[in-house]
Parts: sequence; C-alpha cells; structure tokens
Amino acid sequence: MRKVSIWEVLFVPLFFLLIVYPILAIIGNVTIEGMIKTFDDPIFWDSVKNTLITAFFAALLGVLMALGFGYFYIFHPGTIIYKIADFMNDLPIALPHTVAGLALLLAFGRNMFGFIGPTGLAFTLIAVVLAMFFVSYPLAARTIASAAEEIDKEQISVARTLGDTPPKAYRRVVIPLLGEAIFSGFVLSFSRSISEFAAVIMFGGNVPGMTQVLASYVFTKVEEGEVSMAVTASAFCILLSLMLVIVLRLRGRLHARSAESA
Amino acid sequence: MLEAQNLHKSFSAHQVLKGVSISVNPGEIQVLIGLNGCGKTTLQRILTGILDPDQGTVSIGSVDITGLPPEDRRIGYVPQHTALFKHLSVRENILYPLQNGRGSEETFHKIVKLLSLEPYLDWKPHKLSGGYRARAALARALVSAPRVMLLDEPITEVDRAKKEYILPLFRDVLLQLHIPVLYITHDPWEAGQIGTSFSVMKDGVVNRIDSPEEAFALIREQARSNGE
Amino acid sequence: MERPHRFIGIIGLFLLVGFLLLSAGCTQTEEAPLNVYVAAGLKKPMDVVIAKYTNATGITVIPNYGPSGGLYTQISQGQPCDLYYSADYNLIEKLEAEGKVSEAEKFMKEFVVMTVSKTGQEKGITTAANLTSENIVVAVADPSAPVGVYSENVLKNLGLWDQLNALGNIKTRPSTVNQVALMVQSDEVDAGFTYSSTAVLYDLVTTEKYGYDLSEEIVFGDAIIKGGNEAGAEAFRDFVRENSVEFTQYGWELYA
Repeated sequence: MRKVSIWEVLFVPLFFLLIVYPILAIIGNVTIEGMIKTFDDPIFWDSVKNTLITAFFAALLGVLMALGFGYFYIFHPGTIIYKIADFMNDLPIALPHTVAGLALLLAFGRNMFGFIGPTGLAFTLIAVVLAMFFVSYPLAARTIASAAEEIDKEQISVARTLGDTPPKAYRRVVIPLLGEAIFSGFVLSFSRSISEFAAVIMFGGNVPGMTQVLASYVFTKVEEGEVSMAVTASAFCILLSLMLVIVLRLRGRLHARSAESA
Repeated sequence: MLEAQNLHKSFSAHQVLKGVSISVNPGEIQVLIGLNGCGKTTLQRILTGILDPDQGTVSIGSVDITGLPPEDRRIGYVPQHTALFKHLSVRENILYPLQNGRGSEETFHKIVKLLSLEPYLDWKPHKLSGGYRARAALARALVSAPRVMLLDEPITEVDRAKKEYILPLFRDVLLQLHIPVLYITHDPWEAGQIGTSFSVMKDGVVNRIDSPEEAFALIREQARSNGE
Repeated sequence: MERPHRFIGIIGLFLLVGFLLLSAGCTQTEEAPLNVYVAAGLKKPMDVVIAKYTNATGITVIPNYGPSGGLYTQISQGQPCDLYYSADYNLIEKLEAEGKVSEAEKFMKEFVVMTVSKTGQEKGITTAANLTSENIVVAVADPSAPVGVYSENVLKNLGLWDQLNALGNIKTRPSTVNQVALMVQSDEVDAGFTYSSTAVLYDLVTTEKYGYDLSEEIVFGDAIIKGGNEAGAEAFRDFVRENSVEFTQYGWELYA
C-alpha cells in the first residue's frame, strides 16, 4: 500500500470540516417556505439589484485605480506618490470595517461635501459604491501589481525605442499583457464588494429598497429572527459567489488553451 | 555617427562605468566584447535612454541626446531575449513602429523579404524558433527607420549551428542600412562573424582592439585574475 | 522522526494545546470568569460597574457587547453565557419560552427620544412632525436593533412613518443605537431616534420624549441563564442593582 503523507491525512478532513461543511449547512437548511417568503419580498430583490450594480461599479473603479497604480509602479517607482500609494494599498484591509465606514462618512458626509446635497455623498448608492471600493481596492491593486512585476520590462523598453511614450507603451504593451490579472482583479474586488457590510451600512445608509445590500439584508433577517429567509438569502449569495468563481476558472482554462493553440 | 563621451555610472557604492567612450561611424558594425557582469547592460540602458548616466554624454551626429527619452532617440534596439510582444503576431510586432509614424509598409515588405519572414507573419512569437524570433526582433527595429542600431546579444537563443548562417545574413542587412551599428556580445567568435570593427569592455572602460582574438586573450587574462 | 515530520508534529501539538485552552475557557471554579452578554447601549455604565466588581471581589467579568437581537441568537444557539442584559424584554421572554432562563427580572425603564443635531436645530426641528419637510435627513436604527423597532412604532403611531418613507427622508438605518447617536453627534443627519440614555451618553439635544402609548413598553431586563455559573451571575446582578446609580445618572429609571 502506498505510504500516505501527513499532508493528505491532515488537509482533506480539515478542509471538508472547516470550509465545505459550513457552506453545506447553509444550503442544507434552505426550506421551501423560506424560499417563497424571500423571493416574494420585493426588498430582497431590491437588495440583490442594488448589490450587483454597486459591486460592479466598485470593482470597475477598483481595477481602473489599480491600473493607475500599475502605471506608477512601472514608470515612476522612485517617486513619493508611488511609495505612498504602495504603502496605502494594504491599509484599508487593516482597518476594521465600521471604522472604514465612519471614516468615509466623516470625509464625504455633508460636513465636508454639503455642497452636493443635504447628506453630502453619504447615504446614497454612490456612497455604497465608494464603501465597497474602499475595502476591495487593495485586492485589485495587489493582483495587478504582482502581475506587473512579472512582466518582462524589456518589452516596455523596446516599445519606447519604437516611439511609444510611457502612456502609449502602458496602453499597448502592459495592459494587454496584464490581461488575466485585470479580469481576476475585477472578480476578486466584485466578490469582496458583494460581501461588504459594516462599512456600507455606516456610509451607504442601509435603507431597505434604496441603499440596502444583500449582506445587510441577511443580517437584518437574522436579527429579526427570520432565520428561514436569512438562510435563503445566504444560499443565494453563495450561489452568486460560486458562479463567479466558476466563471473565473473557465476563463482561466480557456485562456490557457488559446495560448497553446494560437 | 554614434558617440558616447566619458560615461560614468554608479549603483550605491559600486561604480560600473568609469569613463566609457565609444564612437561608431555610419556603415560600421562595431562589436563590443565583454564578459558577463562587466557593465554591458548598464551601457546599453544609457544608450537607449532607459537609464541616465551620472556623468558624460551620448550624441547622434552632432545632436546631444543625453537628456532625451527613449521614444525620441530613434535608436533601433534588439534586446537579448528579443522581447517580442507576446500578445501580437509577428506581423503586428514588426508593424508596431508605424503607429508612431515611423517607417512605412514599403520598408516592412522589404525587410520581411530580406529576413525571410513571410511564412511566419501570422504566427505568435512563442511558436517561432529562436532563430526566427531573432529575425523578427531585428525586423521590428529596422522598420522603425532608426538612425543608429544597438543589438545586445540578439542571438542568445539561437542554436550554434544556425548562428553560422544567421550572422552573415544579419551582417548583410545591417551593412545595407549604412548607419552606425553597435553590437554587444560576450562571444569573440560571434564578433568575428559579424563585426567590421571591435572593442572590448573591461574594468568599466571601453577600448578599441584590432581583432576579436585580442579579446580572447584579454578575457582569458581576466578569468585567470578572477581565480577561475 | 524526519525533520519535516517533527516540525509538523510540533505545529500540530501547538494547535491541539491552543484548541484545548480555548475550549476549556471557564471551568466551574470559584475564580472562574463570568460571561455577561450586554446590550450595546449599556456599555459605558456597565464597564464602570464591572471594574468596580473586579476590584471588590477579584472575579473577572467578560462582557460581550452587541445588539440585543444578536446576543439573543447567540444564547439561543447555546453559546456559553451566565447573565444576559437585554434592551428588549421581549427577547428575555423568548428565551424563557425556550427554557433557557433560570431567573429573570425587569431592570430599567427606557424611552425613545428624538435627538436633534446642530444643523437640525438650525432647521428648527422640535417635534416629529417637523421631519416631513423637504431636505430633512433622519436616522432611524435598523429593526435588527430593538430601538429601531421602537422608533418605528412611535412614528407609525404618530401617523408619520409612511409619509417619511415616501418622502425618502429616512436616509440611513444604522445597525446600532450608538451609530445613530454618532451620526447626530457628528452632524451628518438632522435628527435621530435613540434611547434617552444614549442621548445623555453622547451629550445630544433631546427635543421629544415618547410615552409607552407610542413606543410600547421598553424595558431593559436581565436574565440568569440556566446551566451557566448561576451563583456567580446572581452575585454580579445584585451588585449591578446596588450600583444602579451608575445607570440612572444617564437618565434610566429603575423598574421598581
């Protein structure tokens, strides 16, 4: 009999216990009654719609900013702005989420941005996007930065000798080469945005039907004691995330296959 | 004419270039021979404009280009590992400079023919053999209508057997341009196959030599003093 | 054993020991720490009383602050708790129905108030009816916090709830009463509905206090949980009662 390594013995049961089992627990607890109640609730669908739209824009903003960061990383790594950005990239992740939400509220609420409206930028869908962006940007930045590190810098040098200014070279050589990283950075940010909760409540407003997101909907249902609805909404969330991961994997496989056959 | 005057460059405490001067005439293929680690890459980066020297100047003709960024220098550069754009086909690679207003379709066809690249134009670079990748990289640099050519060990990835006929081909094509060509290598045999004049890089400076064989001797001497 | 295996063995040992230590938590000994679950709104005075208690008796009290609903769920799911202070007596009654309570009592009376921020005062807000004007920004806690449910009751009984929602003046529904207070304090909203004690704690201007006919009886209660350190819980609970001045100074009234 083949000798079994300690990794196989430890990893498999632990993985199933700690990761797979809780997810199955949610899915296993879905009831027909819960599904009917939840899918009948227009607030639920509002939160789904709000979540998908805001997370999409938050991830888009995140990727664009990450690409901006990438530009500085490649062409101006010695500057102060790059060093500050590099340092700050990891900061939002270290902040507790309510603190992040409070920070955004104080910064963009009506005390500083009152000229925009009675609540400044706070308590709007834009606020939701900003809160999601704030917490998920580091993921996009890290993904793209590490891919940028892997790029053969000579290709950029050559592009410049062929007449490309740095912005042109970035657009025509770097961004196409970052390809996969941009996509996975987007998906990571999107997933992180979907699950953001505390910061969004503080800054976004959490008004059902207007600025409430799916994660908060689940939380409210739990606190209200509507466990069956909370479970359904959670299972819905899980399915969404699952689909995202599958999409990412499929693209990865397609990409690899096309690179071989091209 | 390509000229570099008295280039100095240090990194931290380590001085790599200690007063490098070079001059290459139009129609000359000057081969710079140097061991790995002697500072060839630093020199190449200063000539292409990626790096600034601490001291010294670079000029093409009578124009001082020391302060110019790479995109304004009109240097055709063929790097060591070809650095062909992986996401573009060979054709798109070679036509790349046209988007910046450099070169023409006519030049493209002429050079493709000279380097026998027609059958491979729609291929992606990673599918080509080392020899054809080198040809494509050279073609791309040539199409950009350069005033000067700089090649840094361009046939590193080519089989030795194929080097024997690729070198004369490159030599012919380069001579036809009648511009200054600086060719960097660590291999004295390669130097003899392609060069019309020779120099050697050692101890942070560059000196003219009469033949590649002299380089052999200097290199052997250096290796011995390094304790090999 | 081979080197990598020994390394893994050591890590495994650490994990095991750590796990055991964590799960051992408090065994029933005299000096065992007390697990007290406390509604978030009681934090400031409760922290003071806990410090006094530890000073006097040497017993460690580990408070778990949170929204009363969330704490209820934790206790209901069997998390180890000795004493539960809820901002909503209904939740304690729920636990009693589940057979989890050994002894419960009503502790303090609380009231919903409307607090007004600096800008709100400038806008002339003095009564709830003022909130239906244009461009007024109101904060009402989310129903996951009991104060949110009570506030909704008040506004519904005043006939203003539907109108406020239709106008969209309720711009934010934070998840705790403290967050509502924070927003009033930092002038990000014009008015917010909190408990009267919260208003005192955060030094807010209160313009209206609502009776139980509007909000429903708001009783803070405490419950000794069955199966926990019931003797220890009782001792601490009595100490809290003795020191109730720490609480009443914030405006709570003892439920006689």
